[in-house]
Amino acid sequence: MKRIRKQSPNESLAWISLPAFLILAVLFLIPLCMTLGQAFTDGRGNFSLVTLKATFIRPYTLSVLGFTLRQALYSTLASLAIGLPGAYILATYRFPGKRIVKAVATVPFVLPSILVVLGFVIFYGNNGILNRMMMAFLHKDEPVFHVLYSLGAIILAHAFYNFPVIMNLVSTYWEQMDPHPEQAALTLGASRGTIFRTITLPRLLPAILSASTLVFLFCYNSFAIILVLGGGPAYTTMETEIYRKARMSLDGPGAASLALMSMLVTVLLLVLYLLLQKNLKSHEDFTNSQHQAQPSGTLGRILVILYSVLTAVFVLGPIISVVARSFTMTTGRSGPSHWSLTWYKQLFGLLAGKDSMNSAWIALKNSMAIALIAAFLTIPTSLSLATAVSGKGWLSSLLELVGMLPMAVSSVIIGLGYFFIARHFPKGGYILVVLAHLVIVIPFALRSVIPEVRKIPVQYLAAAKTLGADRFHVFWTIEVPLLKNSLITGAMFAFALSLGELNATLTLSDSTIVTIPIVMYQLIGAYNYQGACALGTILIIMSLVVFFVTETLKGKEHD
Amino acid sequence: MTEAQGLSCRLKATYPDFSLDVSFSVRRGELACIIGPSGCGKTTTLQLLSGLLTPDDGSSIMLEGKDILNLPADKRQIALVFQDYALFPQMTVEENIAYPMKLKKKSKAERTASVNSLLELVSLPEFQRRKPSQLSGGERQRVALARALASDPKMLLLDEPLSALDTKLRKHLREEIRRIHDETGVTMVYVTHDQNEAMAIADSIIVMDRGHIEQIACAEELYRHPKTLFAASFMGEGNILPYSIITQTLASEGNEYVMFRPRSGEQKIFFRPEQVTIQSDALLPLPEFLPHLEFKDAKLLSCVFQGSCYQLTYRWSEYTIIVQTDKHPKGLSAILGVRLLDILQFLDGKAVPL
Repeated sequence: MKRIRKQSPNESLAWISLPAFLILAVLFLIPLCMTLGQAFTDGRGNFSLVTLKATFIRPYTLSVLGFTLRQALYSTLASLAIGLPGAYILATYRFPGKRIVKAVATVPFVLPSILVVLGFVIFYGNNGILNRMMMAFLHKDEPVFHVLYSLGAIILAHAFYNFPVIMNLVSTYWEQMDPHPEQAALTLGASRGTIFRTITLPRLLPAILSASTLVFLFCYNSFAIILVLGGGPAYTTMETEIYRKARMSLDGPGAASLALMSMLVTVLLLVLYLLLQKNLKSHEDFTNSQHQAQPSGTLGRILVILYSVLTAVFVLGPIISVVARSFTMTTGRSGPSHWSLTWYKQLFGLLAGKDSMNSAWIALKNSMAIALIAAFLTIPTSLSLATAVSGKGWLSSLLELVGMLPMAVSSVIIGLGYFFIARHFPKGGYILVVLAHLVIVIPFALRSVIPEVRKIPVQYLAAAKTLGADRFHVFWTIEVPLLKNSLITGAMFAFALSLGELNATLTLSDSTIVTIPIVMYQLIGAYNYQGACALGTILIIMSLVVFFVTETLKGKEHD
Repeated sequence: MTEAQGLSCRLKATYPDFSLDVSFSVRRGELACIIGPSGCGKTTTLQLLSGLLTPDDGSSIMLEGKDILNLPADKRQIALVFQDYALFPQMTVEENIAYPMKLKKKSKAERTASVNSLLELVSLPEFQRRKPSQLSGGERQRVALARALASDPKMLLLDEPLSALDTKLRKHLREEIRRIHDETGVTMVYVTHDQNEAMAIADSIIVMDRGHIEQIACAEELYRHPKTLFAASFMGEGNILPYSIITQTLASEGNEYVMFRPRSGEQKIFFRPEQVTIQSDALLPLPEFLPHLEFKDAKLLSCVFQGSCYQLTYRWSEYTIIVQTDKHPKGLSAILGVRLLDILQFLDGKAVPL
């Protein structure tokens, strides 16, 4: 029989991760190499450093990079300003409706960026719901505020998107923090203000910094929000510039060298994030003791209510406006509107529509097909990757880093890589879109599976082995059933992400392949907001389904 | 509340599943231990004293002649040492200990000097620059103690400070705490669930159960003359038997006799394992000449070697009797005897004379 070897139960299954890594490497590395290859060529396809050099020192590029970093910084600060009070409230108070506030705050997580853009136009626009309400209230004929198509709009939208990241990460860390050091400081004679300044804030700082870096990274790589809400060349970031260079100026090498520059910055940010994450784990001993209290006094209660209401308006306002708007029909340019199902009839091909509404039905079918295939392919890939990554030792650490690499490379750059491939395979169309989506969604699916793999005690596997199950049997009968929920969650996320994916799809196919987000993008460009809202409502429904399924699965976790 | 010095308090608090009502005094410079099973309200008592929890109306806390009931925790000058140390994780040992002195705006030189002497006191010299994460559990607790003392408190509360440590270290550190108490003279209230720890270091012991005080006394008084059956059995091993067995077991020589007085209520007798005399040689009589109870034909159930003695478990009639002896028993059955002098009687859990 077999020799008994000293090995961790996971190591012997390393082969299971091989196909997944091969697939990921092929899907990810080939387009990346195509991009990098382009960066090192001149216009005629010969090896040259001219483009790269020109890109890196051109004042215009540097000003674009400067603006990208600046808007990301402002957006991060805005997210902190909204997210930190929420983190404070969630971490220190217990109040009725807390679960709802938490749930509402997770909504932006699952919303596609094009939907956020649309919601903002509808809600905050000059002719938007907020402005109309203010106009009616203040008896004015002019819009009260002009926020769209400015830096303010970009920052507001980024804050909408990212404040829940700050709120959730910081409040979770805060809740798990041992409350005794604060109590000890109190008995040593420190006032509550002093305690917050000298004890709580320094303890929270690693978590705040880590969450901020993540948000900064998201804002740095933001695309649709800049493209639409920024309203044009005045607000150009690295991502939108890469897209414009590739698809409008048709300057492949130029776009590729910009992509290389952008990737260097994101890798630096990612390294910073990983370092902060590591620091986060080493600092605190977490306890299970709870330190939640009722809101103390009237002030606390007002704070909680005020914050809950404001977040609800801030988050739900744009979403509800999208749904409401999709059922209205306006007569004339800005005449009175009435209820109508016209947009849905056009969407489902029952009624001939104008412009892009004609392609809406095809886009819906395309999007569903692409997202379903991407989601199904995600399950085996993330299972095999997660199993390999969860082991201990340098190999799995390396594998985890490789698994995270697609996060360092923005979806626009992935789209760019596939755009270069598409030039060699003119008929590749849909397949390339599916592959690009797969590369983008896998890291996110892994985020939900890897922690669950790590939670499986080695004893389970050891016990199954001592009972006579071979390693493969153990994998199928113990690990796979335990991971089922997280795999489904991962696939659901993959589905939602793919459904709302605009950046890579647009860069890759530039509207030759229509999906829901692309048609929405075209409709917004043509000022057909109601039509876009009808499509947006479909996205919202899909996102809600994903949200409820994943939340239900969370509740059913194994103890 | 007559005592001008030290602590004297009455604490009342009501919670959904538990209510607390205690009143006790601790003399200045005394080390008092609160013991009791988990959930008896020990920790709640400390948190009420320190001001982390607010007591109900009708409570009072007098410390050094001043009413501090309405002072917030940061103004009470009562330091609390936690079971999980509660060191500030982002600060070094020195910064942790200097923290309360910084709050009092002491100069840097003064702080450094105090930190050094406090680290000396808790036997951790040269530890200034370390972070809490680089310390062992025992070292962390010493730092926590030094930090609490650095606030120059009028009273120091310790909430099961050693229960996260291993047995050997626990024994060593409790002697250290007693030494530090003696050197600083600070009034201490020390919570533990370990009666050995309490007996080893306390001047007086407060036994608590389910939110009230069972007895306050020094260790020896508690062990020998417990006022309640709960205090008796919490302070060490003991045998509890119904009062009625006296009639079956009483063996008195000569003129001495005991009045047998059954009363209404739950009447129990109590004696400690080391008070039992044992004769396991069936051929010999029990070597006992004072009036005593004799348990004939007790069957040996188990014999556990404990180093300095054996702990034997006997079955007599339907009861179990635990015996402590320094000799290995000779046979499986024996005669057990307990002197009447050593027997305590409890009526409905309260001590009454035999």
